[in-house]
Amino acid sequence: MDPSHGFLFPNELHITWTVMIVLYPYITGMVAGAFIVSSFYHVFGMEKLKPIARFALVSSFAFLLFATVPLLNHLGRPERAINILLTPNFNSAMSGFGFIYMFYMIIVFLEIWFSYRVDLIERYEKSRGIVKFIYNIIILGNTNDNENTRKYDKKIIVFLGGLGIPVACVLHGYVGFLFGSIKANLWWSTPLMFIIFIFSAIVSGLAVLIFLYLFIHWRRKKVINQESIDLMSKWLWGFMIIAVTLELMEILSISYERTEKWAILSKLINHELKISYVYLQIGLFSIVPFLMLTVTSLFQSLNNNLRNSLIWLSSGLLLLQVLFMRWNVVIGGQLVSKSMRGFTDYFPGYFDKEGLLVSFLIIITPFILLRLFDKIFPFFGKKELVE
Amino acid sequence: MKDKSHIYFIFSIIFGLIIISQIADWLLKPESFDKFGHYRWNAIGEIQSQKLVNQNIKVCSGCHNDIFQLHEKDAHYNVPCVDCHGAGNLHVAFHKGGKDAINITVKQAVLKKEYNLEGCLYCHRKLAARPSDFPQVDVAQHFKFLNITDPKTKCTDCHSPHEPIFLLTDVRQSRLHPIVYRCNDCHNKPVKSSYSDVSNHPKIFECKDCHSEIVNDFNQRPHHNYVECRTCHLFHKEDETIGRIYKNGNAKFCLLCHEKKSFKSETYPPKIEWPSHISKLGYIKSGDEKTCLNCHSNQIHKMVLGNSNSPHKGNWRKEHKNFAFNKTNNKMNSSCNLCHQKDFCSSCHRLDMPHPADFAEGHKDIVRKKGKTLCYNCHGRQFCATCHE
Repeated sequence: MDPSHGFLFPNELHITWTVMIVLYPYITGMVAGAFIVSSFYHVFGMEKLKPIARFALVSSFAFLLFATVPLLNHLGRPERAINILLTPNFNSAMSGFGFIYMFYMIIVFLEIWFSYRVDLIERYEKSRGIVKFIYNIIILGNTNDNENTRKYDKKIIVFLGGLGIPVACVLHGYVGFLFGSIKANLWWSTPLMFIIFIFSAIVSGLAVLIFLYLFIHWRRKKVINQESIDLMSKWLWGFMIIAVTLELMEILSISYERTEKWAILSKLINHELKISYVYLQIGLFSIVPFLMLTVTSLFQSLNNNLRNSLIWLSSGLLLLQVLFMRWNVVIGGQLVSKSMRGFTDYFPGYFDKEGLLVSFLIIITPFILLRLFDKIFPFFGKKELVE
Repeated sequence: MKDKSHIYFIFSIIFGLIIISQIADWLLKPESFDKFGHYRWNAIGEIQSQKLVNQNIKVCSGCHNDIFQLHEKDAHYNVPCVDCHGAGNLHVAFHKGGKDAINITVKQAVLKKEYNLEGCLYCHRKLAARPSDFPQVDVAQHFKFLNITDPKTKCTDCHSPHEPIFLLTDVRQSRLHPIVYRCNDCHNKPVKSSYSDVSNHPKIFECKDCHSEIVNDFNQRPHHNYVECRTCHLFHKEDETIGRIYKNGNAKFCLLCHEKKSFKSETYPPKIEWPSHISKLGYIKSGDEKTCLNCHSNQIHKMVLGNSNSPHKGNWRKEHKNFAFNKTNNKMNSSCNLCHQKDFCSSCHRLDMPHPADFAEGHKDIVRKKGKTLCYNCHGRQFCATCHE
């Protein structure tokens, strides 16, 4: 009944950045992570990732379209969102993010357009009526497709992919920066925050792609490209090790320094966030997938079905790991009193405006959109069907 | 060139959109924006010229004077009506009538009542960071102390928001009193021993330092086990040296603990049906607010119950028996009736007083219904035995 523990100022009783602000970096992380994976093929020419590259790009776009929805729900008055464009404020860290977001959106949109241009022309020529008209608008009425156009398109894709990688890193690093730069918050204020956010973004991007790729191929009974999945799972293993290690080293560093903030942060970790951080984020959702991915990465003789099941399960757990990481950062930081002597409590409610049901709907929407995108920009070829 | 045309075209579209957005920015950017900073300067004037929606307490008192009077004398006197009831502009316009009321529906005109538990706790939730002299409630402890069984009980089920602690004296006219400390003003956990038992404890005032006789008496009485001096003698600190003390003997204040309610356990503390416990009137007469103390002051401490407005002096309530009943002629003194109506006696005695002529024949039913203790209020415990052996 009483949400306060210890010495808490009256204005700290209620959490102002709710679960919506947890979802926002979570979705943005998947955007950045998926784009970086697609760039491994488009920019660095990793042929093994070809089967997943376009899927990664479109996934990134689908998540990008919904990344700001939690913010609009949280702030209210979504019709005012346009004001950021009409009255840009270059002194505001939050407003600065809007420009990075818009720039990144243009890059992703263009890269998708160039990647799918050949397919879209082919579909335009095969279709009729209104569908043909829609495809004609998408390809801007230009059906010119030959060796030269493909060569130029590839060059543009490489350029956009190359430009997109730093922008994707800045996009998500900036989210970390927004938290890390709030010096009044003991749990957030660290220059390492944006680096942790970038690595956790790559983990969530890889995890969501593996999770969906294996799920779709299982549902559609298609042949899985084992080389591609093996490579991605190894990277997932590697990046999750870096992401988790960075986070734990940050804690270790604060703990070893024994500065004054450790007195309250140790209580935060060991009491307020014990379940969500220690047991779930680190225990169940980090150590368990780490062990499973260690097995799939190091034991090559493992049966493919078992290997893929373990990889799929690990990617699902790591998706939850990143979600819990966002929760523990965003909510955890607000649980601590500025007095460094007390805590508040938080539960978002089930059916509230910013409750669990709305959160679930917001999370699920980009996945539904992705399913619709598949009809316009097919992710996987028909050749991969099981014979 | 032809093979690059689609590239030029799409980049031209992007470039075109940027140009359009710049033109839109130029056209749509509000006038006076950025004149003195990153905001629209004209907004200041527009906001200043807006009609007030929050209604001043004087506006409210124009129609609700009875509530206003209660509110003014009690602890919430400095809490404006809008804090709980909202702006009130529609309510006032609707009830004033005229042009302004035309577009207001009855539903819109009803004021909200922010009387739920959270509404009160917004100010009164126990927080270590609040000043210790500000009234704060730990709901769990408060409910446990009062033996409240329903956790959804609202504060307003016992406390009136307009008169939260039923003070008998106007807050601003209460007695000034040197600072009185309680142990939990500084200590988080309840302290059992006195500060004087602790060596080198800073000197503070406790009630017993000045009022030792009354405190010692209080320590012998039943209330001592459950409440402390400041439970009834509420103290409000005004600065570091002085505060105001309110002696609260209002029956409504006693009822906060002792009234039977559906959400309270029947076991503890002792509870009564109200107002049938004292009268058939259904309300307390003006000047008679300390009615509980008339009979139950011996549960608290010795006190003089004289009413400054009453022509009867001293502990009249205790002593009126000798006057009302003339032992010489064994009859009731008829002079009471010169000032008081007949039902005035029965409002306390819960019986027709003096006893009617046929009382002896019919008193069996009354005793069965109301209990022997009613008789003991006036008669000694041996009185019944004079006839019943």
